[in-house]
Amino acid sequence: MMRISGIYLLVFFVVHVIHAMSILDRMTWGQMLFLTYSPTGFVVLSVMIALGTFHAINGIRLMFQQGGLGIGTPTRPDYPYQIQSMGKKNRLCIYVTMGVSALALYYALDVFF
Amino acid sequence: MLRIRESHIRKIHYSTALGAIGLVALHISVRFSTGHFASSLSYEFVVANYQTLSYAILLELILILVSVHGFNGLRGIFLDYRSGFKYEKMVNWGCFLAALSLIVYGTMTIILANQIVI
Repeated sequence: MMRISGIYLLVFFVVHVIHAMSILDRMTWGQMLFLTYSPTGFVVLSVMIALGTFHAINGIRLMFQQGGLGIGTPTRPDYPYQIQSMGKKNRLCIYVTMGVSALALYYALDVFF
Repeated sequence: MLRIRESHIRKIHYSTALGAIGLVALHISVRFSTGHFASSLSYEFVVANYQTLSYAILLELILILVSVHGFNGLRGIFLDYRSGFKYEKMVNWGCFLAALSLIVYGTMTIILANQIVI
């Protein structure tokens, strides 16, 4: 999910930078705005906001995790095997992140439509 | 470029991420702060944004931070799927040049938009 959102955001960013060049000509800017103001344009923007929120919050969680925070202590692997680095707190963090992203999507759709 | 340690690249990746979160949030909030999204994209308003020095600096910083972070992330994804000296070199240089091209392209827009006379 982190990678999918990252690739979506990167593609959006590249297109956004290329699209921004149209500011140099008023007519081209107007034509580009037609694309932005279309339902497809609003959906693309809303998904960008939702995925951006997810990518940012989950990225901060991963930063802490890769720094050694919240991954538990090393234990002997006994049956039934449990992944130490993906405990209840981490799962909860991911679900909360998804919830916040859904709220961001709802807010964005509300603003655009 | 190939001599940078992977741990240093990781630190650059994290610092660009944190910087980008704050600046992009600011950039998006400016779009929503005008009351109506459509009016924030009017030609005059956007040109005025580009011609405000602080906002132009904000855009340039976002451009650099997101390009570096994004293409470094893409590099990481590519390197996770395959290995090999030639492949790694190709991916490293490809992502570096792509990020550089995008930064140059975006900077050109910011500089040229500064010279628009309405």
